Amino acid sequence: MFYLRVARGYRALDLLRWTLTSVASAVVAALLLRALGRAVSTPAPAPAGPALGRLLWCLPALAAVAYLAGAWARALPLQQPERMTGLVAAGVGPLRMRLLLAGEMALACACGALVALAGFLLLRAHLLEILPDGRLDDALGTHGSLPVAGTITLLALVPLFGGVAAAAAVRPSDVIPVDGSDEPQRRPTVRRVALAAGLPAFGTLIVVTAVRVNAPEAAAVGWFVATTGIALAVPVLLYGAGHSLAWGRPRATRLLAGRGLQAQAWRLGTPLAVLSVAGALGAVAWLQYADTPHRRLGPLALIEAALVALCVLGALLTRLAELAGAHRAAYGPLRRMGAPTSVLQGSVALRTAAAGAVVLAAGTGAGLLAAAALSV
Amino acid sequence: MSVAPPDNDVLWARSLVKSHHGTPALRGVSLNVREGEVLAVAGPSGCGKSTLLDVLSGMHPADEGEIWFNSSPVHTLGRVARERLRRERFGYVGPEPQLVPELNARENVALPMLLAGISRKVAATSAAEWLERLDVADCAKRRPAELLQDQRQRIAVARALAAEPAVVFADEPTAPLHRESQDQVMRILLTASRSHKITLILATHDASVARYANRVAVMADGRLATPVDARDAVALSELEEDAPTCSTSV
Repeated sequence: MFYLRVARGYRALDLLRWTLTSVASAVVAALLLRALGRAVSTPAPAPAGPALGRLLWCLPALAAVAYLAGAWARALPLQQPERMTGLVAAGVGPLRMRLLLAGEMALACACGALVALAGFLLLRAHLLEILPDGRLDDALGTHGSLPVAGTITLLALVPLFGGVAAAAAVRPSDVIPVDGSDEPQRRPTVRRVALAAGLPAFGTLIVVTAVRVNAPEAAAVGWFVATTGIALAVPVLLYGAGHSLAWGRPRATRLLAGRGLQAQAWRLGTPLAVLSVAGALGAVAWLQYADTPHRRLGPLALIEAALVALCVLGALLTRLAELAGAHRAAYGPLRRMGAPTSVLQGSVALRTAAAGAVVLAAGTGAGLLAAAALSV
Repeated sequence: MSVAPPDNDVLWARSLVKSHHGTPALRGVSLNVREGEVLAVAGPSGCGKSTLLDVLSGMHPADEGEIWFNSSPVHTLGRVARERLRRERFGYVGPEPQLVPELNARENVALPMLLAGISRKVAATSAAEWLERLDVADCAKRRPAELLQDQRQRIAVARALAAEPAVVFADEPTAPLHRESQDQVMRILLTASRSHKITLILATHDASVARYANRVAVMADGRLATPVDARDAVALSELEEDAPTCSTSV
């Protein structure tokens, strides 16, 4: 009932966000149901390997949807401050607020999953035909009976992942919107810098050694370690880039660009790290498939890749919109002192270029390592 | 036809009208400000003081009326030209410090000078000096979020004065300050005004602050309630009636 009332107050943007979450969840649910259908279609004494493989293939998409749900749940308090203040005034504490936001995301995911299930059942009953000649029968598992408990468990994964990710992403301090300027700036700790420098170096060392002695498992472990390190390094690199931009005695443009990047390094760092790692992986996977002529890239892999890409971009855009709000607060005093538009635009351009360079460097690093690890 | 303003007035405004979304804030304000003087615009909150300062400083254009700065018209200037005027000739202290959150104190003070094209070395030295004068030199490398409201407001005052502008607009500059530092900051503003020939336009609802001015203009309901005159005892007593908490014995 609460969510119905909340939904009545949705503006176009909220509605779009809700619908996109549902659509993404529907795609993931369809992938999961297809894995189930294929498992049902295989005759009884079947090896578990391929079925498990198909399920594991759904994991990146599931993770992407959960990530998106988290990003959106986190942005909600800033986008609807009046709703948050209203709820707080009504006596909703940080914990319950988290639950409410998580519930909203989980509901969107559940709706998507139900739509996918309805489509799946309609296709199975041949009430709806997409491809003729029963070419989908294998994926739909029309030859076996659908296990009810299994279906529900699989479908419940989507809202569960989405809801848990949303609850984890909402920070109690964000729930009640405060003036952003009162938040002290986070500087990289020594431990974080050590991790950001050490992990990629250590991982690269493992990959290089594994390539020499021809050990694919070690190469995969090395790649994982190095990529984690690179992801951890992105905010540190952004902070460093900002610091070096404002180094010495900068002009107004360079000063604003550098200090702005330093202030945003942590909030911008996470989605940019995800973007660089996902982009690098996508590029390497694409090149690998392009090199092997007998393995054609199926439509499902393309759908999954598109879903992951859209989720990553969606989360990044959400964060950028969040930061744009913080920007406007900083622009008030600048406009008051008559800062020319060219200085403001120049600083934004310089900041974007520096962040782009960091993403490119991190992505290239992750991509090269993945290519090396796959070549073993 | 517009009448050219007297030569010795740094700012001269005639019949200013301004409304916010249909609510009138200024209903025909005329006023002149002489070079180097301290003018207090006094009155209860909501009487249009802040709007008057915004319009005079070119932050927002007036709906009607004329403003002349050093005998050149401001009301005919476009957005870019008004930005340039604010950057090069005006300083502003608000009721909130309004510092740029990502810059440290010294950078905040140096920023208007950098924007006005003053050399970076001069800007850095001057910023350090002004922070020293306002007793916040030890905060130079800290960001606004790490500072007390009192320290932030001192930095904002340093920022407004450091570029040595022709006119400083101060809208309730002592509002975020402790009682004991109000006096000090006001004295610094007045000293700077005297030594650097900076004209100071002070909006306040506090009679004890208005007393620092050479002249007091009392506003009510978007109009000047009394003719502007030299430290008008009547004007001040009217103000004290409006704000009984601020009353002090004369």
